[in-house]
Amino acid sequence: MHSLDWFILTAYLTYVIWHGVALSRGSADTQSFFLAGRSLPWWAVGLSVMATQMSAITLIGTTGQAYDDGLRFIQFYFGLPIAMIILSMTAVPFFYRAKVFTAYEYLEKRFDARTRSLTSFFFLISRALGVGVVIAAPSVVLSIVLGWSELPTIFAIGLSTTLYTMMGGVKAVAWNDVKQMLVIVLGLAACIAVILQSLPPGFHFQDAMFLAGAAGKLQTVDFRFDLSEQYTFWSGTLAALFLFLSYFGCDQSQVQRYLTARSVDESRTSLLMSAFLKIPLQFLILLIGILVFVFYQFVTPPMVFNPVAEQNAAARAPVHYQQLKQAFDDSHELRRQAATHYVNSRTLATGADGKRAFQKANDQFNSMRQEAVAFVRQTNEEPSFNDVNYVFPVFVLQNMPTGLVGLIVAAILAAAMSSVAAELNSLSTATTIDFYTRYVNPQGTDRELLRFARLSTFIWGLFSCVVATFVTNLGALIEVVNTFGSFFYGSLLGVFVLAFAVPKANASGAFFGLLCGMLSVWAVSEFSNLAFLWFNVVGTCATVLAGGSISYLTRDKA
Amino acid sequence: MKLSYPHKQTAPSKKWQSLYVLVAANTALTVLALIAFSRIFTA
Repeated sequence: MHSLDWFILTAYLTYVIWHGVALSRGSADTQSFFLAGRSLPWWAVGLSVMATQMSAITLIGTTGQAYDDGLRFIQFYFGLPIAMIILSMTAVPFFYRAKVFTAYEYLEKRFDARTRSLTSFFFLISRALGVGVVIAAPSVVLSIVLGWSELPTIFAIGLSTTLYTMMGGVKAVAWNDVKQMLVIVLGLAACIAVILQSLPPGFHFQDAMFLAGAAGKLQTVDFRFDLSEQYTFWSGTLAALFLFLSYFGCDQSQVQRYLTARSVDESRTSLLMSAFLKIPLQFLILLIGILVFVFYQFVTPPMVFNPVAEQNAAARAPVHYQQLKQAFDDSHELRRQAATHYVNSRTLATGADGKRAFQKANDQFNSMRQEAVAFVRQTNEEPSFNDVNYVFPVFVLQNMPTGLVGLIVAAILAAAMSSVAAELNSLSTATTIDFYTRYVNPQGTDRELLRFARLSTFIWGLFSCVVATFVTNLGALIEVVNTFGSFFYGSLLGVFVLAFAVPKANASGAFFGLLCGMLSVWAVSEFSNLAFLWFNVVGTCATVLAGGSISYLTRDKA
Repeated sequence: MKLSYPHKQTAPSKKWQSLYVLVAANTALTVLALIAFSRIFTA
């Protein structure tokens, strides 16, 4: 990176940490530290909700996914606005009026202490491992692309975020989220502007879209009802609805965001703001991936976007590598000519022929790229090798002007830090409220609780960094974390459905229902090929059915 | 404080009902716009 990029990046990070620490003056008691004294305006809470959900994985991963697979991923978000409406009507007033710090605290009021402790415990495990992945993903990618050392990158992201979260509490998290969202949106807008400027002369946005459309990148909605297919209209609308209901309604990292709002109505408004903006924002991110695809029609792309893996492959099998590289460059040149011809002839009578020729050249190019990826996978002895996550950072580094590289790297770090901060803050809240205050020090003074909250933030931050170092070495651990999350989310939602909607549900029903739900998801994952989004539906339904039945069998007959 | 079911839950006010309808309609329109976008540039 150029020194100007370094300056922008350093200035941004210093400001974020300084501002977070400065807010520690306003977090002198637990109400302020955990709930910002319920003083935040709806727009700040709404932006914080969105920033928490959008991690660096979203920014790096989905742009790369759009480059490879097109816009199909947008379907994943169709259920989100519906979830927000349902939660605005149900969970938000329940939590807000129950005057709780954590979602699980509510479960003790409704059921018993063991249900609260079990759900909070599962939340702590899944979220702490999740934070490790959120830190590790951008660290691995940025260290490879920018040549940084992996370990210092992990600890720089993890500990700087821990520092301001520990000092400033939820207020620092939320106000930094607002700034981080601004940096992210600015970075994305700059990317789009630069790519459009970089296209050949006379080449407009609509030409870019016709080219992407001809390559099959603009297929947005798939109405096939196939339960094994991950992204369809039905999985995005129905199955993802359950996931979002659970994530925004039962996961402390999100519930805590809207408990900081000034009133129930402001909490609701913050969720509806997210409902309005999420799909367009996600479309913007995916559009960047599409535009990067169009950009690389006219500029030779790297054969494989992970530079280290490509160098390894070239060193281990130089002859085969050179042959592949030559064939790859030739197929790119053929596709470039076909793309130019198609765009120039699109409105003419020969447009259809031009389109077919481009599609054929694009298919050949894709085959070459698949062959190259398979070659790198084999020579690097990494069966799970996938270079999708490297597309966007490599594009930025090689093609964005000086200054903007710093801004976009800052945006990637901002996305990571906003998620990590909110999650650390919620981990600390759950540890302090659901365990320390509940079992260890029920009579603790505000000062003692605050000290423990800060200490637990630091410990969770450190723990997440350690997890992140393992994630970088053990690729399969990411899968374990995601699978554990999907086992848990649907079942957790089931417990809250029992609490809110089943009047006769009792504590035994909720406790054993949760375990039955998780067991059902495990069975389905082992013995069927159901796409993982549907696990949330299975978990919720199994928990509600089992919990309802157990409640009926163990009902108080007196 | 032990919460017993049913919790007090009132129907959303007219203002909130309108807002929910607005968000639902906006989502439906967004999905339709995405389908149209896809059709226009894929045709």
